[in-house]
Amino acid sequence: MNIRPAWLLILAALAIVLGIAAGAWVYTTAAGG
Amino acid sequence: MITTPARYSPPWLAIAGFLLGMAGVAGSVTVVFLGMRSVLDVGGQCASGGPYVIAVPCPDGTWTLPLAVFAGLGFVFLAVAGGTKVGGIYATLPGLAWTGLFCSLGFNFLQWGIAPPADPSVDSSGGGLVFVLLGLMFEAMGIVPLFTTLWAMRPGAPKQSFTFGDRSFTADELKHASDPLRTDDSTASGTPFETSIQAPFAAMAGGKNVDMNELLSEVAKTVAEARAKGIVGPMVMTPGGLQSLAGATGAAGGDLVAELERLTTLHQAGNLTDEEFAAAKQNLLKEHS
Repeated sequence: MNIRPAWLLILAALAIVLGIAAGAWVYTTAAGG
Repeated sequence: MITTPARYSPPWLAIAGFLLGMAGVAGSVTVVFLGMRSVLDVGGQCASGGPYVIAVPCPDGTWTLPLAVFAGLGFVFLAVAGGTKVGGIYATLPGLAWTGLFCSLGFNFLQWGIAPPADPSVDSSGGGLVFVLLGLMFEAMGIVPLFTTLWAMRPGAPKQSFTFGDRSFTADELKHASDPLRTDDSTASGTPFETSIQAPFAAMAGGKNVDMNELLSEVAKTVAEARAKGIVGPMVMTPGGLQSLAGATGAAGGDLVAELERLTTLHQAGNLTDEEFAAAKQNLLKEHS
């Protein structure tokens, strides 16, 4: 009955990668780089 | 209106919260990681603002560090809340934040302890062996929970289960046992009506192996039948079937007159047949004698 969509794992991985990119962008922008 | 859960449908809001939380956590960890590197670059300590003479000013962008820590906590909360609602491994996945944070910061310590990339003009006392030890400690803190979690999730690992009576349920079964069949029907007769099915009641469903959905639709049918007979108010599932909670509390020490009046009202309204009314009245009097 419980659906465990594998695509959510892929989306989670994508979210982590996007988050890292966003974090790097935020930091370098704040550091004036 | 009695509603039964049709089939499992993805909880979109929880999924969105989970994904946003995961991205936010990853971003926050990244900011802390990069911020720590630039602070290590100026010797591991810095200051800004305040009335004192500052020996080592903070690199630009250091202000994002404390901000990222707080934002990160918020994102972790979001990811856990969403992941828990989605269920399965998604409840556990936000725990990666711990490993990500400690392992990445540990990497910084190790790098600056073993081979600091900073230029030699910077005073980096306090580095060296201390940084290596700190690094090893951080790595251990990050890695150990990851392995214990993975070990618990290995195929064939004993699933955590909860026992009610002689039946045991997995956490996933319980999660869905309590959400459906909660209904508030005040449309037809003006009587508030609420039924909630919870795991202990499911455990009482005869001790047989039941599909949660089947059980719930069975209960919904029984509720509808009970309602058609004029049983109103909160109900409770017992081994003997669905019982009116109001009736039970009334019998426990309630007001006999009020109960009789209620029965009479139901009878007059046509919700109870003459036979049902007589039987209910008999029961009531027997309970109170």
